[in-house]
Amino acid sequence: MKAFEYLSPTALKDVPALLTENAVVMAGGSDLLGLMKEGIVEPSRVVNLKNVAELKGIKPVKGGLRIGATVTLAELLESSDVRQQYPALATAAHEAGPPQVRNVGTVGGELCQRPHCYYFRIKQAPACTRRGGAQCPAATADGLSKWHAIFANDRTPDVSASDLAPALIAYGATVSILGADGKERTMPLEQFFVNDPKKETVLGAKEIVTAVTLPAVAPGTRGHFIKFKERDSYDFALVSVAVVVRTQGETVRDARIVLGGVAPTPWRSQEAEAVLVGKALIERTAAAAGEAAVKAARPLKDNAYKVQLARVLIKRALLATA
Amino acid sequence: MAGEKGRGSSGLSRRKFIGGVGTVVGAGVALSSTTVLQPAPVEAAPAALGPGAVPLKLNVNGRDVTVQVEPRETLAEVLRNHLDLTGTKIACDRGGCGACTVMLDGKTVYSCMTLAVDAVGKKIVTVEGLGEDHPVIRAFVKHDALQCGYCTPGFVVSGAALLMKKKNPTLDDVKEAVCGNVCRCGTYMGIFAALREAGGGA
Amino acid sequence: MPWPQNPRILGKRHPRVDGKAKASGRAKYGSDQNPKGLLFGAILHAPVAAGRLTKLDISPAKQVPGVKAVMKFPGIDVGSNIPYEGLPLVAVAATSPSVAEDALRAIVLEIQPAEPLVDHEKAMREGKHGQPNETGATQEEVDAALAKSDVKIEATYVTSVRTHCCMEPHGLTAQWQGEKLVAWCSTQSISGVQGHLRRSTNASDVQVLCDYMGGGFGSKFDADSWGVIAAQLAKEAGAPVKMFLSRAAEHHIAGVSPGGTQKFRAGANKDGKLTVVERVHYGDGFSLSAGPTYVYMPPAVTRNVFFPINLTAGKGRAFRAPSHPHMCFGTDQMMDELAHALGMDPLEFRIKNLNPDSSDPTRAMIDRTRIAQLRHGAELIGWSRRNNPPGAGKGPIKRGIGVACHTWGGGPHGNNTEVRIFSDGRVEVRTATQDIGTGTRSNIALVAAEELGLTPEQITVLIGNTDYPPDGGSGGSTTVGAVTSGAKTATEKAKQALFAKVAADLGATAADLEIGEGGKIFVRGNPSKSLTWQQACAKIGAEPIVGRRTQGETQPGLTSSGVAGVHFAEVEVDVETGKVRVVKFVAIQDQGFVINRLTCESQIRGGAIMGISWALGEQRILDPESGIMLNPDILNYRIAGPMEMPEIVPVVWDPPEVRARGVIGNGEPPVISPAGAIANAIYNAIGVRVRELPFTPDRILNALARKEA
Repeated sequence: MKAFEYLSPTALKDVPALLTENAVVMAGGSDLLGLMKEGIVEPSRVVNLKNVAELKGIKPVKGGLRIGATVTLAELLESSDVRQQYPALATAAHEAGPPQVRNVGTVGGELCQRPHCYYFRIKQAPACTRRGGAQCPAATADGLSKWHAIFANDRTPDVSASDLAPALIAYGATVSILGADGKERTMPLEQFFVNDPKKETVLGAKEIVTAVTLPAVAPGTRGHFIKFKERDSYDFALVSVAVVVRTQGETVRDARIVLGGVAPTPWRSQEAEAVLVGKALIERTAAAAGEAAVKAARPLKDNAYKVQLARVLIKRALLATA
Repeated sequence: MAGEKGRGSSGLSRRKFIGGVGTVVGAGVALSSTTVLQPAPVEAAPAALGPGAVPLKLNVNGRDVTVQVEPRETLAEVLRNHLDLTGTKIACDRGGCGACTVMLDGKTVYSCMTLAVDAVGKKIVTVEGLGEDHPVIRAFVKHDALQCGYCTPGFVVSGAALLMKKKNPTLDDVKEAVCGNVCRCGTYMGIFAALREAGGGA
Repeated sequence: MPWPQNPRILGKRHPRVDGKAKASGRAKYGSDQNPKGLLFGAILHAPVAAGRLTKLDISPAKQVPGVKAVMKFPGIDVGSNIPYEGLPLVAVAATSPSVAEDALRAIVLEIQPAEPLVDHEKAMREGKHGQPNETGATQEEVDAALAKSDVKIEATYVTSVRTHCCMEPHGLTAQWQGEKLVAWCSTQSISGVQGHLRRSTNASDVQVLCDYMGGGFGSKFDADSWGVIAAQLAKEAGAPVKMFLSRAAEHHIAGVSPGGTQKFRAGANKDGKLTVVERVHYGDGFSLSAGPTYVYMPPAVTRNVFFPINLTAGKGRAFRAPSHPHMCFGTDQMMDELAHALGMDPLEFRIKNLNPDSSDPTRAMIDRTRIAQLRHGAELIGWSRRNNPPGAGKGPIKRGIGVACHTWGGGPHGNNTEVRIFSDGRVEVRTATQDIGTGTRSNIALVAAEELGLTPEQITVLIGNTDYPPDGGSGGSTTVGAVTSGAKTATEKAKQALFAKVAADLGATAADLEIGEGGKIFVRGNPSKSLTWQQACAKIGAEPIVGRRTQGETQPGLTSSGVAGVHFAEVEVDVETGKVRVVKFVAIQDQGFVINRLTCESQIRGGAIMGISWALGEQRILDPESGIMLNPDILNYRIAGPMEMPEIVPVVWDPPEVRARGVIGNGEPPVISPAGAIANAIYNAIGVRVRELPFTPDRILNALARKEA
């Protein structure tokens, strides 16, 4: 990779001023260093966030949890609060990578990881719009689209690779962002991700994620996460699904169903959620929810199989909560 | 920056480094008299290191060593090329195979995806630091958990880390612990048996 | 002397003598060498799959501080054709890998891209193939035979291109000592590398060293162009140079196992005998080495047609049992499909098409062995539990069992070995072979130890150095027979020389002496007249006793060639997700006389795993438009990992009849059958044929969807 200067601030207030032209922030580095080695990202300055005190730690807030951006996936897994109250998130953290990744990979980094599409990552390959290409090569007649989006795929149909995002969104998490002006703003995590041929999140060049916050979990809530991989040992999701369902007696009162690996952003299926509310969570209902979720799917040349995966994984995740 | 160009800052200990530390071999070991990067104390104002080579003090296998490296150099490169600790292998150089696995503060990491500068202040343990009589190494030999052997040290480190926190691991525990490592010769069965035995689980 | 009937240590389980060195990280591979003043090499590779070099200026690279030498590869200049991605263009040597990369970035390179050709089907459609090679019957004869057959099938089987993906990349560390060149190389053939460097440099002498190497699988037999240029850079820079390929370059240029398409038409009669088999195959470097019935008896009418294709992609190299896994994948599925068409048990159908009564004694022996292996494997896997009919069973998870068969040669290459016994009791065995992970060092130690009544730890095995007596390359499963027969003969000679030396002291002749446990030398029939090993060796004097085996000197019974092997796979297929899991795998292999049962089993398991890995996930993915490889790393190349592992039952098949044949290599055979066995197991599980590798969820779901449609 190209030479760069390295800074390691310890106070959050110092960070914005360090994010000069062509600077990047780094947490675990699992994603960034790969991009730098390939020459896809060539910063002249790397700002390490791991020593920033304010970005560390998991703290209880208002019955929920505030998870600092540099909390590692391993720390998330080790948190008994996370495991007990947000089991789908714990599973997602576990599934996000092998121990070597979980030990350094951070919540902020996992959410901000760039797409894993080869047209983005392989410099010699036809260029993705995210690195200056005019059109997504996967969307062309000759392109290979097996790993690509089945929803919202009319622009740059690579997929959101985050495993945490579907789980966090299903639990109704918000994300906090430190702006270039040094002020923090908070928004639903669902709105953090954008379907844009140039970028994947709302983050501006000089902005960083500082935390995600999970609301309190209402009684009767159950969650489940499934990540379906081609290679179980270590792989990105072909399709992942997080479901969080609140029932009262036998009846579903509230449901959130969020898919990963199927769209340029985490893909919440309100169609599927609507099928569930007011009904008992039995196999037929779960299957109907899966059906409803894929109704709007428009697969590309090579990825019709993902429609079936999404359909069945939603059913299975829902039944696992019943 | 705490380096040669002297843009120093109060955040870094400006300690004179005198002479070689430890018995390091190989290219690029700092023998010059310059400032050494130390773990940054809290409240430090940020200062830039590099892009040229800077002296880094690393704790490797229980010894402090100082190396003169650029911020872009990975821990795997520094271990292999500056410290001659070649048990840590580079096979994919992209965090996909585990041959470069080392421990930082007792946790396994891909050293090819870790900047050496990020390892300052942490206890680095490489396969050499386990010692040749480590139960995992003995069990690997007994169960023939290796063929060409190039991926083996990475598996050994992943396995040793598992046994630090888990006694009597199950087969699933073992698979989970080494799922970030790849063996091309196909020695997984021996690895599973070795780790279960070394952990007292079989 | 043949191998002992009741060996003391041979054939038992022995941990390899270099296991601790490898597991502890002490073992130094070629890529681990750090000679003083070392420079790091790096290569600028062609970034396109096809094109022509229009500009190349290397002078800016020379200006980068820390760069010590820059060189174009031979034949590379403006106007050069780019035949595939990754073609080496320029090499540099610098003080660190990062600086070497800076130098590559500084090079000015312009290429006029051309249209790549990366798709076999497209090449066939557009007639972009070479002259077909046809053997056997005519198409009309095949048509006629099919018309007369009770059942017939027509099917197309497609194998993916694998790359070797050795964990240690290809390369070497080169150092000049005056006019002599020393190279620490990651290689399967130190003699091959030596020859290559002798031809390609002006060195007065070339010494190649390889104590350890990180996998080759058929792809590491010479110095490669990058090894040669490393030597030249080292000469120019006046400093040693380490040059190992990047992982991407490994995938691009360090060898692939060519894949391709096999179109079968085949028939059989109700008696269970094949009547006709036709195979038309095409691919890049895909020429299949045996006829279309592979291990089975060819019927009267067979036809084989091959269309060569030249893709703009990295070229094939030998890959562990070259072409056999592909043949097995096609032929053993063809057999399965015919058995089902006949309504016969696929196992019985296979047996009916073997010939244990052949007049060819090798064929008879191998088929006799194979039938016994099939019967035994059927017991171990529980063949009677297989899904009947295929696709039966409730719920989304279907289980199925499949079988496939393979064969290989495995005879020895020529070998020279020297055994030295010293007055202090030390024993050294020298031969210029290399241990590619198979346990060669241990095999040699075990043989010498058996012969001398010692333990393997008492034997010093000196290999991996071209200064030792010459041996061949470790390819084709030829090494174990070569080095063990060599070690045996040379040790026997040294032993006889030692007997001659001490016979007078024991009041006997050399012919009367024997050696026992602990190396005790005694008079046959009178064990009280004896010398301990140390006492005997003390009489040797300053010069060691030497026993030599020279190439061409063979002893009958020590080695042979030709093996049978059968694999049974049990899979679970989730028909709702397309996920295939191999749950149990029985791998039965004969290899004649077994030297070390532990490493022998490792070889059988390792081969099975490599085959399972191909079946489940491995494939070189090329972009159809640009021809660029889209998964040139390890994560996305998807080698099977810990979670993909089934229960594996390795069976070392060595009844007395097999053992009596002598040592036969087993590096290649265990890798051949997994994909075929898994393909047949998937069919048994879901009742749908999936004829294209690898068996990823999309392939399974698409096949199921086609069936429903």
